[in-house]
Amino acid sequence: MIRPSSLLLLALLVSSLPAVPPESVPPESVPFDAGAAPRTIVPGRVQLADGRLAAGRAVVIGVDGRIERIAAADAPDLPSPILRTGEETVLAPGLHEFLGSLGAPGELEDAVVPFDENATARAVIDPTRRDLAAAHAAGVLHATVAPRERNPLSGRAITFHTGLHGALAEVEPTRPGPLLFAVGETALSATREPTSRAGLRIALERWIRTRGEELLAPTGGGEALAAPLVHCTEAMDIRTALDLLGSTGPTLILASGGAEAAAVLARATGGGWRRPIVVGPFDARTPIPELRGAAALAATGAELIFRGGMPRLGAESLRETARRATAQGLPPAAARRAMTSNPARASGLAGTIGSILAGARADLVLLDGDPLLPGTSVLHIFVGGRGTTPHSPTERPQIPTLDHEEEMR
Amino acid sequence: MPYRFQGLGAILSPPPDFRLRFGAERGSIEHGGSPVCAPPRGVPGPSRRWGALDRSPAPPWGGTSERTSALRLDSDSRTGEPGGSWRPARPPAAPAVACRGILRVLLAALLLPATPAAAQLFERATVIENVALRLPGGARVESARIVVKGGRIEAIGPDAAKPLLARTIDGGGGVVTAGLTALGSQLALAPSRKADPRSVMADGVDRYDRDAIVLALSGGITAAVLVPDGVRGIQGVASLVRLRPGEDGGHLTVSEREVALCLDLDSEAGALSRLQNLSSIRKTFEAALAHREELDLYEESLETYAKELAEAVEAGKKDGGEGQAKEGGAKDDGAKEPAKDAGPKRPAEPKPREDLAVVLRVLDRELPLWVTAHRSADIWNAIELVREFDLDLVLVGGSEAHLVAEALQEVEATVLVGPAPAGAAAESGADRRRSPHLLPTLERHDIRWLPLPGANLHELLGDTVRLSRGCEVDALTQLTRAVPGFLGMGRRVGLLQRGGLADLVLWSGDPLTDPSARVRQVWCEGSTVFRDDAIVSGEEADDPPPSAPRRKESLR
Repeated sequence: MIRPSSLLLLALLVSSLPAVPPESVPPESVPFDAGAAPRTIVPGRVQLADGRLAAGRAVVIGVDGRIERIAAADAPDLPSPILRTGEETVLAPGLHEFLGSLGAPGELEDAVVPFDENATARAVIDPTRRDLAAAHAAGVLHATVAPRERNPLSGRAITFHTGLHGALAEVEPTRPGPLLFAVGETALSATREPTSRAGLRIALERWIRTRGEELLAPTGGGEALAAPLVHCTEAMDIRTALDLLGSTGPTLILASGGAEAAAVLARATGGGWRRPIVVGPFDARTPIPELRGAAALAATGAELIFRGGMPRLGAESLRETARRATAQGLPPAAARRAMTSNPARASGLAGTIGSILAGARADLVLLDGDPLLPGTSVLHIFVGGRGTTPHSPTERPQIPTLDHEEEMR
Repeated sequence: MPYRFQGLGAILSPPPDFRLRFGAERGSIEHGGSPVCAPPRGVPGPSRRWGALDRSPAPPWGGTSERTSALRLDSDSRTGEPGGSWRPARPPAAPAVACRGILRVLLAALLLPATPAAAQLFERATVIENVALRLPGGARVESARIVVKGGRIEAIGPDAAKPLLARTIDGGGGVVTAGLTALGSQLALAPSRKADPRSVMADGVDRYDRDAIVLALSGGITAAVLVPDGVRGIQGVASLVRLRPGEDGGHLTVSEREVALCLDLDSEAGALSRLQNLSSIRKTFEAALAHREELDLYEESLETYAKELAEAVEAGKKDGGEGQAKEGGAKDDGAKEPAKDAGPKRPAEPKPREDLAVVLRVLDRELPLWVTAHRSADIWNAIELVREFDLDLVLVGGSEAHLVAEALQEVEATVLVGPAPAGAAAESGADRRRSPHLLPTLERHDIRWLPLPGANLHELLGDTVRLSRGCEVDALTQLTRAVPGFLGMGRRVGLLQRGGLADLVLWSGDPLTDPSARVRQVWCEGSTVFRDDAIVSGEEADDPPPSAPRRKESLR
């Protein structure tokens, strides 16, 4: 039996409790649909610039399609409309396919001009290819493609959006991409000079003396100027690359032998090599020592980039490569950086793409879990802040580019 | 008050109602230390001396009276009492008797560990603690402890009691799952060069292939079904192996020689070649049936022949008797010859066909049939084949099974599905029409599907997680419950509960949520077989194998 006095006491207690402030009511949330452009995304976790996943963050997107700021998820001043996703979801920068054949089928068979400064990969991209759409649906929003490493200097790489509709859209059309050098066996030929590694070294030294100052010296761009890419066939070629091009801070591309490369680098640089090194791609046939070589390189302090295997190995080959390396000891944060911020840095686009940072393009991927886990799927893709749902490889995505967005907004 | 003494084994892990007891009330202690082993109260039994173990009741873990009888040193049969009665031991006559007793104790201590029962009795329990359990279905149990003894899980969970003097392994906050079972692998197996129904994979497996077995163990695999590869038609017989050291020094043990007969309808080949292949398989099946008829006919003919022969002999005797009477018993070869020709003719014995004998076992449903087919046309052919010969269908591959799901549902097929090919591999070949909706379609039609490993056996869990995206069942349930259940050993293998075989995998993190989780240690039937990326042999293991050979048991 409840006494009336008890009820009175209870009523008094309830009335004495502080009222819920209107600020703590969740701000307006919007259901997601294709084409929506939320100003704020509040996912379960956000991939930070160092590759870690952090909870309790909100990503605010500016009207220009760039990331405005990273805020606390419960901050009172988050601009609407707000897209809140589940606790399991992860918002990551768009994945970056590096030096694969995405959109550029076939291989350059002839290597006639040893130092081809003017060649770019721009001419070989076919923007109508289906593999581009498949990659885009798998969260690969940017790709860097370079001429093959058949010459000591093969030309320049370009970086473009994979969500194309009929025309090539480079991320920074005005900024020249990195030059691709090769110091290993791939650059040798029986029909033209150089024909041996010794000859290659002499020819490369000569070219650097005559042309290096113009094409390799930083012109004030600092990090933004793309450092050259140097392809090494064997771990022994690393020594040549560092001797000749080490001062330019090159990005080394390893064809194989990560563990050996780690030893060579550690000896040559005293363990202080901080430039990106390209390894992979890793598929089901990659031997375990090769996978562990990636972890050994990371242990020396080097930053990794996973070389793309698309379209040969499929649209998920980048995440598969990262997953395999992680399973063999590569730290997860390093593996996430190797798919996003490090390839952007090697392409000369650090701060523009590949990181969730203020000022970077809002080219983002929303996943239902850690991108390194095999069961994770892509839920949504945001290009310049505007969303779309992933399409099957047979469908054509309709992705607005940043240039068109001003009109659309 | 009786003075009770529990034997060493009982102290280590005292089983209920099974103990050694010295009966002071029977005067043995008072009379110079000749103790009598008394049965539990109220249990009659024969009188024995010097540490004889009770024979009744039987030990709760299945120890038999034969085993315990091996421990008996001196049963008192001198009393002559039927069934034996419990009576005080005789007092020792002199100190020499006591010395003899001590010697007997020492002898017993030396001999006891050599017997299987004692090995089990004296085996220390292993306790794995400070681990989380990842159960099929996704549940997770934190701060758990697993008690392993005799190759089985004796207790498991956060409240599992730790036996006295047990060996303790600190799991370091890792996650334990049941060992994974891989269906359809070529672990340590060279590709077949010729299809032959008689070839059994257990005979071809290289059990000393350390590298391949280490790789499989590093993926948390404790059992694998080996299937033939590289040939089409009737390929051979699949075998089940467990990744624990064998008595021959190999790194795996054949658990079941004959799991299923494998057929490959060769979906990669051209149309004509596939038709010829199917025709050849059908002819072999028909030949097996014809061979059986021939054998049956031969048996009937043999019986008839025996009867006719008996009659002929009888008739010959009569004729011979008459002839002897007539010709005075003179032997004449010319007279015998026509009798031989006129006698019954022995039927010709059919040529033995061992290859057809295997097929006949399939047709008799004694041996399951697994059919590899990817294209819908080949799956149809497989369905027709099992309908024609009244068999159960286990379809391996089944890339286009979603196109013929209704027919598969009708024959209650089981489909074994591997990871989807990617990139260039998906553009061509038999898998090119594989749909991402394959498994959800099968589930919608109530068709059981089970995962096959991909190119790398050690990536089985990751591949299965990817495969089962969007499905009702999760990868761990498939690999630890469904696959052993399909192989008929689900009641003991893959169980993370009391009584299950201790096939355990300790991961550094949660393999389902931590991308850097690696296998740190693997136990197969309670013995450590893998630790720190290497196979652990018997000498290196923290739990050495019992001195007596392990009793062979069926896993079913």
